[in-house]
Amino acid sequence: MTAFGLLVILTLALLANAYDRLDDIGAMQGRLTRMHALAGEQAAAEHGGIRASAPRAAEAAGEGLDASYAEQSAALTEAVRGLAVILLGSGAAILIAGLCAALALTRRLARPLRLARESIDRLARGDLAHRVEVADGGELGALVTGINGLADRLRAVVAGMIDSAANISSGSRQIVRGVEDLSRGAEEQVSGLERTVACLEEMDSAARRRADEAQGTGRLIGAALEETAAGGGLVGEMTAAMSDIEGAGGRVAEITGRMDEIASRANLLALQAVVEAARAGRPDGELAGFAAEAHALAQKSAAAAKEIRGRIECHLEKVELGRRSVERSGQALDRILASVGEAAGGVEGVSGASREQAAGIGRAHQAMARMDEMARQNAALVEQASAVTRMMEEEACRLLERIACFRMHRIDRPVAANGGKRRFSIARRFGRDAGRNGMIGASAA
Amino acid sequence: MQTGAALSDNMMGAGEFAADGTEAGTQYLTFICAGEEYGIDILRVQEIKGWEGATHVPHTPAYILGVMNLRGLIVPVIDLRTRFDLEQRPFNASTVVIVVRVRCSLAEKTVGLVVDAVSEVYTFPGEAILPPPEMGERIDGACINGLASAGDTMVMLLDIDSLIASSIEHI
Repeated sequence: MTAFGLLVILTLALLANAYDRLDDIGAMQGRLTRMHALAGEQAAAEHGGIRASAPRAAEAAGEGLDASYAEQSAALTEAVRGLAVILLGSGAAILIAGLCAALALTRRLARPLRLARESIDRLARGDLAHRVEVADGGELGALVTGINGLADRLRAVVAGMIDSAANISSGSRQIVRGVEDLSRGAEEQVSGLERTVACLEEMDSAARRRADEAQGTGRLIGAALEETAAGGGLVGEMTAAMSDIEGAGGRVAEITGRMDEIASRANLLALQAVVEAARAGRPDGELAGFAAEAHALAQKSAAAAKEIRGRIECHLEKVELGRRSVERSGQALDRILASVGEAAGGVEGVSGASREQAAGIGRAHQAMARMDEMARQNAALVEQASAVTRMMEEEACRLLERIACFRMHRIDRPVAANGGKRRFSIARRFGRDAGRNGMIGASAA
Repeated sequence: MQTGAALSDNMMGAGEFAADGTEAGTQYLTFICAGEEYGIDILRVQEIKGWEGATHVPHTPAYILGVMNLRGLIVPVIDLRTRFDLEQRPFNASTVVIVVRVRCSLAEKTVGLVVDAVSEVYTFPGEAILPPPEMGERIDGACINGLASAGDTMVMLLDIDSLIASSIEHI
């Protein structure tokens, strides 16, 4: 430092000397200039005379001038030469001083800068674990601290990226598995839907067959209904005929009743005749004989009327029985008619229900077809999702591989010597972690 | 019918028997009342009529059904079932009124008897008539003269005079 100060002082002295020389040179130059101006004036004054008798005078003046100019010029040259020497000396001194200063600066600055450059190079090569020792608290120290901070932040960022990539990869694998499950589910859904559709088609055809059968049964029952109604009409006719027979029998019974009455009156009359004959004192006369005969006849006719009435009553009882049985037949036929009507209604209901069932099955079939279509779309979407997820996983692995060039922890071996192996080890370590977490780690390797 | 023919033959036989001699027996008109057959002397019978109803007379015994107009003659009508304390039965087509003449209190009266039906005319000889059983005064024994058999049935021969006398003496 002191040498540097001496050097500066020496240089300043040399410069002051040179400045003085420069003053001298300036003065000489002023003199020269004045001399040159004087010579000019002389030349101008002598110009008129010169014109007439010019050459000699001119030559005389010229010779004087040249002599003075040469003298002055020599003095000037001397002064410049001295100045040059001074300048050369000072320049050499400055050069020596600069060299010394440069040597000192180099000793102080170059090592930290080299360390910083090496550190930056290693950062650029991905060694994030490397740190530079801070030498002093100056600007260089701040630079090195900044580089160290940069490395720290880079390491944090890369660590975060590794974590994120790992998470993305594992999540992608989970998604892949889920999507595979989903895909299987979608396929099962599609196959189940196909089976359901087949079952629905069978049910549809069965319902249609049932509806047709019910329609056929309904026709048969309708025919039975007509037959039964015809039978009911016949029974009604039979009932009417029975009632007619009964009425006729009733009239016959009435007639026999009147016959009976007449016979009893005749009997009374005959008895009266017998009584008259007895009272006449001739109980064995002709009158008594006729009366007795009339009495016998009346009794016979009464007995005959009684017998007829008995037979008619028996007949009427049988007719009544027949009428009742016909009535019961009619009632039974009515009940059959009602039952057949109900059966027809039931069959109609079955037919309608079957038709509605067939329509419902058709609608269900359509819905199933739509569901089938949607399930197929789902399956396709699941395939797409699977592909996208696989791509994502591959991208995550690629990202991991790219990040693997960063060395996160300090190791003793040189960085450049086994970079590929280290990269592999990082990927494998990551895969092992993933595998430990219950994931498939093969894809990472 | 057979019964009717048998009765008829019986009657004809009685007629023949009567033709043989008037003293051979007495003719009885028989009638049915509550299933039993009663006989009255045919000479007492004036007329046999179908039941045509009677005009009820107030304040008379229950067996007096009323009076009837027999061609201008007012005749009291007695219901024999009620008179004999027998079961009541509604009248029907065979119900008849036997108009009889009786001697009562030394006077001749005409009375109608309502019975279920007339039956026959029999001729019973005197020896065929059996005396009525002694059954105490409570059973109006005085009204029955005797009993006679007609085939397999028993005919009670009524003493019509005393019957009517005991019936209408209160009127």
